[in-house]
Amino acid sequence: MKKTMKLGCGSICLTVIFILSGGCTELYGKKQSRYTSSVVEYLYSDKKVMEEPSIPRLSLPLRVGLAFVPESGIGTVPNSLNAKEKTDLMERISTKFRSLPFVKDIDMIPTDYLANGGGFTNLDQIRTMYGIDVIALVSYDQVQHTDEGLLSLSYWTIVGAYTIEGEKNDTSTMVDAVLYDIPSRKMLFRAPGTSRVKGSATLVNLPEQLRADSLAGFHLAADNLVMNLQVALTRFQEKVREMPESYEIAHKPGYTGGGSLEAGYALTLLLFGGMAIWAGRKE
Amino acid sequence: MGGPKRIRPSGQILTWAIVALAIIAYPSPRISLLLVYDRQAILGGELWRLMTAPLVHFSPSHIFWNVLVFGAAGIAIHASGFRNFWLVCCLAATIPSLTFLLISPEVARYGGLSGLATGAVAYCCLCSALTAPKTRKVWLLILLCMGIKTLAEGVMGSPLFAKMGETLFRVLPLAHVMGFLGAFAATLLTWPNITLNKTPAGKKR
Repeated sequence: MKKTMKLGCGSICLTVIFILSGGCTELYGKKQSRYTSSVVEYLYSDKKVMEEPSIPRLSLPLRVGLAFVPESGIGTVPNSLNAKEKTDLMERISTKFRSLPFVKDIDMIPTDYLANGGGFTNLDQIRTMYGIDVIALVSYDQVQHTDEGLLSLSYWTIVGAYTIEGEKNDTSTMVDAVLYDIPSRKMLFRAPGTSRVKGSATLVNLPEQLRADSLAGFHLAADNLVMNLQVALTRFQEKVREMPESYEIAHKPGYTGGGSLEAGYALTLLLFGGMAIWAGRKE
Repeated sequence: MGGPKRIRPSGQILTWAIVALAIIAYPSPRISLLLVYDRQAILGGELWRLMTAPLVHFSPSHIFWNVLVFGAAGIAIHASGFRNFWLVCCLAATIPSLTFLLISPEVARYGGLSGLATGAVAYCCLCSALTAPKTRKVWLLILLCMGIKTLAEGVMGSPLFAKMGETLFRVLPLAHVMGFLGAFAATLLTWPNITLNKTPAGKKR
């Protein structure tokens, strides 16, 4: 009888330990979440239809559309960007686009107008709706890692879960903007932006902190993208200069004009001016 | 007493200020948008853009050559002691913008220091030709070549040495023509006073 009771107590203890350890496994250990959207998935999801790019005819200045491609996967991802956050990010990026010499106007297109896997057919519809010539498609890839530090041992006190920041978060973000000429299906250039945000949180505050880190990561990556956009544009201009047969550029009323001295002319002026000054001083 | 001429640092403030502002404005989209010649914004009352348009540039090579030539010409003008460079800058900055506003409604935006650079070089040539008899012919020759090139571009409406379509903005030779004329206007306005800021040592003016 006594032996049976001992066995019963032992099995209850083991069950409790299993349950607790199961709970701890939920609490402790590495966690990772990923939020992503892909331009390739949006444009080329239908593998049967291959879009052949042709020579783009860029009639400057251009009307540019700016849109986030739909998220990969079905349903709402917990920390994915909402409509307001996307608009804020597009505002940041559009400031740079507005200052570009070949951009007349920029339209921010809601993600709802872009169908999952819509491809160029969907872009043609948007082009008709907004009257745009080219579109900047913004995609992103964000990975969040959460690890427990030594301080997480304080969670056993219950109060520690509310007060001690034992959760270490690491958020890596990449935002990518690709400029497509819609009629020719040709990619003009792309610019990436990256960021890394590190933070810590209490166990209870963790989801809120992750959301904040996620948003901060997107903002920093967007700022980085804006900086890289200038480099990408310079490369694109060089490409246009080197391969004039690949791009047709025309100017229509409303264009941007610039006073520009060519390299050869500038050097000639400097050379002859310098020689004249030198001759004058010698005398 | 008979030592070399000393460059007055204060005289170069204008040149350096314009160069610095152009360099600061280039990487910042917000500043560029605030300073660029924007036809609609000017007609809406933002008149400062008529003056600030030359500070905005659209590509690295665009800013590099413009700033280099303007900076070199500005330093040469101040080193030679020619007065009233500020007037050349004012005229060469505002005349192109006003011209585009009045006769070129198709130009929605405009920027670039080349009008000022052309004006500065032309002013340097004119003042040097007037004050340095021994090198007068060289300065006049440079001025003549510049004038022919600028005039030819103005008549053709396109740059002589760069192809249209090479840049993502349209090169406007009219800016150079106006900068050139601005330099002449400044010279005419200050004609009796084209004297040096400082008297070379040992000579009386």
